[in-house]
Amino acid sequence: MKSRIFSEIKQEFDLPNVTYFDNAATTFCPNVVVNSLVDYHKNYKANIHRGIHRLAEKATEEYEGVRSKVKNLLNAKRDSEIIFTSGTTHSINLIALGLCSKWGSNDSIIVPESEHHANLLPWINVAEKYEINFHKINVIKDGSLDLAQLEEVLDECPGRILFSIAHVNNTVGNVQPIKELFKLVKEYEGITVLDAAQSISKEIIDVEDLDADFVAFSAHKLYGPTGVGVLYGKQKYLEKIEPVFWGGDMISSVSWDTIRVNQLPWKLEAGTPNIGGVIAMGSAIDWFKSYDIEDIKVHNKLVNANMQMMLNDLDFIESFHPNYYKAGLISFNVKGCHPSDVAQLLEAQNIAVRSGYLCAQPIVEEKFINGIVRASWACYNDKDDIEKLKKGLIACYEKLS
Amino acid sequence: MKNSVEDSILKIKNDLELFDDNMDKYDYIIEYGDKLLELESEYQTPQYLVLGCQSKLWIKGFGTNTLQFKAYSEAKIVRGLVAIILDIFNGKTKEEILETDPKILNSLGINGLLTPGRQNGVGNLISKIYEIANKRTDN
Repeated sequence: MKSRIFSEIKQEFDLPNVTYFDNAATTFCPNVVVNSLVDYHKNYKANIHRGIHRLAEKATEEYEGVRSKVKNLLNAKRDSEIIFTSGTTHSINLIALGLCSKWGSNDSIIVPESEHHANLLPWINVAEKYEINFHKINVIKDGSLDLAQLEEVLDECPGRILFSIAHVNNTVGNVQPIKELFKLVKEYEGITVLDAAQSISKEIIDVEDLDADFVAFSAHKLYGPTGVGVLYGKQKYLEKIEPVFWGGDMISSVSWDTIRVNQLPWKLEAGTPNIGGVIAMGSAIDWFKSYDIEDIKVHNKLVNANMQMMLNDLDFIESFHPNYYKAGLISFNVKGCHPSDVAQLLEAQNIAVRSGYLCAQPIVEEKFINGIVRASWACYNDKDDIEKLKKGLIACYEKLS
Repeated sequence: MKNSVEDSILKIKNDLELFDDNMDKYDYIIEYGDKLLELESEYQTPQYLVLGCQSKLWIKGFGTNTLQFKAYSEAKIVRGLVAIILDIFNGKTKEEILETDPKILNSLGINGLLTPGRQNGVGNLISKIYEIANKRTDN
């Protein structure tokens, strides 16, 4: 890891001409990532693991090389603990369908009520299907969990336990005290699942330190391409996952009598994967790691503070949370204005934000009825962007109030 | 009468073309919302809900020979857009509505003002208007 000049980071992107505050949805790719994707498709596009020609060998080498990059990023033990998926949603569904399909009415799945649909619906689905107990844990105003309720629920769970939580919440941006929460779950021998979709580009994720049994994230929220992501799993848990998809590359031998599945990680990667996407994700990780994560955290804190100050300055803004640190996003409403109107008028001023229920409808609708406006930043957002957002919000209020 | 839907569209189109700036167009759209015949809260139920809008939108048709539509949305821009579209269809017969090619609404040029989510919402609103007109057999 080397320290680089953060203020020059924009030069590494060909950013579109828009003030972009929708980075929690997806981040732009630096040129080096785009180039690596193009390089694969132009210069060595071949299928992996099969051909014995030069292109296939190069593609396989590049693709498999990304496992070590992800392993190092997460401080995992083995390359075989890294499964390439299409993204966070795929990763979480893989655990739910591959692991919990053998569970039943003695077992329990626990999630906070504030989760993104990607970390909610896969669990509700298997809980209903296999009659697994499903518990949702209340969140309090600042986004933190009701710990007393969590302990109570854990106390009452008779059989196996799985606890899944987003590291950084996608609606209010608070960072959950994962280490502490997982330690508690481990006292009950529960399986711990970390949805790192929002945190992968903002926080240090060390699976050993956090005691995470599974971690899911998407490349496109880490300056990589869409359609590719990761499921990390501790070997002993990954081995319990039954393949959900069957087909090429996930088998070691097939006869009419017997199908022998391949070893990890390939047994969970049926079919031709997103080869170019995985390779570009590798470039995104290299690029990301060329910055010191501590510098990135300092930049986040700075944008967070400037954003909060800007919103505090505007008396027509309703900010929903106290001044705690928000990792990359802040949600608010403009008094008396519908969030969708605000987003639409900001769009008319070339400013991109997100509005609505933010893929967390149950909790957002319960607390805010019409939804919220979310501004989310990345490493390339600066003070000028915040100033533009401020002017944009003033114009919205003048028109809509 | 047959051209009246087209006439209504043309009038709004000409109005909108007067504005060079998108923000000014929104002023026009928001003000248009004041003309909306507001649907009473008793009808703001799932039956009358238009799906696909980020803000909730309800619509109901009234009348026998000619149709009158009432709608409700809390979002001002949606309210304005709905008022524009309903202004085109209100007071028309079932046949006049069903004979109108919905693509003609594209000529209003408001699609460019709409984010995809809302575009789906408006598309669904137009489908709902045709559905209401189609079900009307009592004229």
